[in-house]
Amino acid sequence: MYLDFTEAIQALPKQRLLGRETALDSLYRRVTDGNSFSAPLIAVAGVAGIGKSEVLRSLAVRLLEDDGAAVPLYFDFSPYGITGPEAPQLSAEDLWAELHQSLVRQIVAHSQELPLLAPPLCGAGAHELAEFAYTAGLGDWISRLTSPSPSLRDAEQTWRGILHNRATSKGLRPVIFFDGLSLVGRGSEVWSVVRGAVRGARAESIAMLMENRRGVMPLWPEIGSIERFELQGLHAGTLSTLIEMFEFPDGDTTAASMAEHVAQRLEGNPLLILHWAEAWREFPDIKNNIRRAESTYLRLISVSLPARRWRACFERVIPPAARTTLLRTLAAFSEPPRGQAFRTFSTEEFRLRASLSREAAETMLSELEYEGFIRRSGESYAVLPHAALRDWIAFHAACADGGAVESGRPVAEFMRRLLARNPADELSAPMIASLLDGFALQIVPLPLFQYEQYYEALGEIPADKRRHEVLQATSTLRLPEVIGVVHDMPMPSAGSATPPSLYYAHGFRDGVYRRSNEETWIVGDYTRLPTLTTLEIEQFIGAAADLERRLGSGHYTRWILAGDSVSPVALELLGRHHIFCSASEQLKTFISLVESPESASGRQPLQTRAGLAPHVQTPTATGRRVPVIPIAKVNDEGLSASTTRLSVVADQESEIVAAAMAEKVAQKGGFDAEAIGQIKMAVLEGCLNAIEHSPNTEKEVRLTFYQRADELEIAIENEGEIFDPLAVADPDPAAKLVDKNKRGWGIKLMREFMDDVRYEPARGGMCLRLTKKKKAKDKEAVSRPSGARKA
Amino acid sequence: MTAQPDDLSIPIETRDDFAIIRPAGYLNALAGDRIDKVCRGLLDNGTRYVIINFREVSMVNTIGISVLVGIIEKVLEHNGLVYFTELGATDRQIFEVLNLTTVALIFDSDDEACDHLERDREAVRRAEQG
Repeated sequence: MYLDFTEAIQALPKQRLLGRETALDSLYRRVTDGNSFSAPLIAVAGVAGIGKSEVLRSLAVRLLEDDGAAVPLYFDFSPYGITGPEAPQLSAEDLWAELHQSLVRQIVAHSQELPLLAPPLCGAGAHELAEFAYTAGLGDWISRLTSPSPSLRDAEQTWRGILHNRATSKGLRPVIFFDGLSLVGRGSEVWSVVRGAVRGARAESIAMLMENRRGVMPLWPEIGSIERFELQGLHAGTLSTLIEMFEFPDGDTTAASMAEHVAQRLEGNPLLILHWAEAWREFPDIKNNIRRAESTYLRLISVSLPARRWRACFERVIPPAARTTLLRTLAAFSEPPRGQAFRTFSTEEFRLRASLSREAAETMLSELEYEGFIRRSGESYAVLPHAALRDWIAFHAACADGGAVESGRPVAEFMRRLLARNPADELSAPMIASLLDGFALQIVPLPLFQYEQYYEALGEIPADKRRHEVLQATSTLRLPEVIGVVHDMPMPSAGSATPPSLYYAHGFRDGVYRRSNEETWIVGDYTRLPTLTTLEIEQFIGAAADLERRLGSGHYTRWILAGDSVSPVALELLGRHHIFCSASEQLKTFISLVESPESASGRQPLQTRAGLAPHVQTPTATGRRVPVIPIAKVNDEGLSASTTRLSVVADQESEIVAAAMAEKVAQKGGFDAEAIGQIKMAVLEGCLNAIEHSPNTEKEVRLTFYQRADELEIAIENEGEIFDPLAVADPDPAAKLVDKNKRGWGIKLMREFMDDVRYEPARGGMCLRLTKKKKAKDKEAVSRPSGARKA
Repeated sequence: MTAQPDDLSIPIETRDDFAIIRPAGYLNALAGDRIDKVCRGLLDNGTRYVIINFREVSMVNTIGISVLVGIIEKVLEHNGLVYFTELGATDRQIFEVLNLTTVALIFDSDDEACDHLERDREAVRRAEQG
């Protein structure tokens, strides 16, 4: 086994070293500094795959090619990082012998300009080598090469003696490279040899660079400080150049765009990106690019070289019986809290989670830290914040649970969660809510909601021309005015590992806020799935039916947001159940239309939000024009007021509609965010009370919003029993803990949030009046003319 | 597909003696009952500390609040504590005006709650050791 870099240097393609020019220049200057009293000892650090060895080898090559600089003496210790039956079983003495021979071989080759790999130097045994070394002027130290089993002290002295010989002879000073130390286990004999070698180099003022992921060498007080040189991920520009160098098949532009996205996720780690590109080329038969990317990433974190290294390091320090538990533990600790890069945990948390003794937990934490899975800060630990490593942990934790790799669907679900998608390809949850919230009586082309019709009519037309064509559609749909959007709790489903997100939007057709004009849109989000199938549609139909039962009778529109395509069988199901379906292209077009209303030839532009403006007349389906409520009203003080009325059914969750309307009215009235939240909650509670006291669910609760210059008054009327809720005492939390009746909080809440709360008898029941006054700055904001700007 | 709400609707993360519950959407009587059912199961299985994360809760009404008070009662009976984390501005106001901060703890994040429960756990351990 050779420790020198003859093979490594021949395997070094110089053109692949991108983005490291600055690092190379800096290290070059450090090691060729002529001041013999400041020969540096540098540990080149960085995560696995970042290019530490590449930098060292490239620097060595540069020194070789740069006559008059220094002589590189390169040693690769990575073979000693192998574990298992193939691992070299060398003692420290044996290792010293290997080191000496390699040192002499390289010195002889440089001084006599002999090729390292060719005879007679290559293959020379110890005695032949000694002769060469004598010829090279290494003198008395040579005999030690042939001494049987020298002591460690002698071995170190030999090393130092040879270095001294080189350092004091005429000729270029040597620079020593120790590569592959990241792969050496903590308890390995290698470290005692490395320590002695570093001692010798320091004593002889010879520059030395060591590849070590951790950047800090073991504690060697006699050696003193060792500099740390950290390599970071490649920058975006360098990544683009690197990706361009990958040999993707002609026309595979998707690969390049996916590679850029993945490269960002892999934080500019060149080795990982390279392996990802190689894995991509292994799936030429997968035509769906999303699936190909998922399969590629799966291969990257399961069987690639980096993944095998992680596995080797993990298995080196964690006993077989503990591996599954440790993986699950690390996976659990990998999820950072919102807004933070990582999640910290203590020894105790780790111990509890992994069900270990204190001693075992401390040992394993120490080993995991050494092997580069976690890092420590004081008494806290955290899984390293590198996406690929965390994906590897999560993947193998899932494999340990069984089934993750046995069925394609769970793996696909798993990978969708891991692989960060291009935001343009997928709607996020806030975007869906915003999309629905933007429904404001616009008239939109109906094909945007009908997948089959859209692609039947426009499938032959190039994608960039479809938008223009769709605006010419003769069939249109008038959207309701959405008052509020609710994200429903996902219900468990047998068909999919991840239940779909379900949203429902309360709206009113034609801007008329009457129960008979209510229209609720129920939306299922399947944009993460490339293809929509009957499985997902049946799941959606069930969830929508449950929701409709909960909300009560009314007018419902069901809408599925799909990914790239819909299966033919699924299309039939959509038609049978009258479900709207929009795939990604339709959605993008729809969003762009709603956000930027435009007119096509002979077509009315999309109407923008009519809002709560008075006297807006809208056509109904039959063509009759119906005046729209609100009704303008002037109060006793002579201040102009606007009034909005809303009626909701006295059934569960109608209070959400009322609260949403209250929010909109308060926003329109210029209240600040805090006041809007308070008004919304007070109306919610008031409406809840009204619903509870209605004799049956067919009754209505009627709300009237009186918007005045300095206040908002809301009247909530319900039919039913007359009562005095204000007679209820304020609840005390401590008392409620021991009280069977835990309720009674609504009145107190309304009193705290509103300026005035009054109940009074009304026709057939009760009327609750809530009043909220505006703060001075809110009044100023509303009274300023619309075109004015704040100073 | 069943219409019956069950435990699987609410994401739960359980550890040794504490659990983090992450309800989503409108926290009304229905959702409150789900959480209550979940908590009963957790308490029966040895959970002492319950963290209820409000990040995905869009709204809560006072019926939901009353169910939460019932949960607090049960957890306190088991010598545990209830934490509410990541409350929105209005929800936090609700808890404050209703003085719920006297019977439960409010933190900005799960981690802060975990730190507190760790200290409480340690204090309890020391007290039990005399």
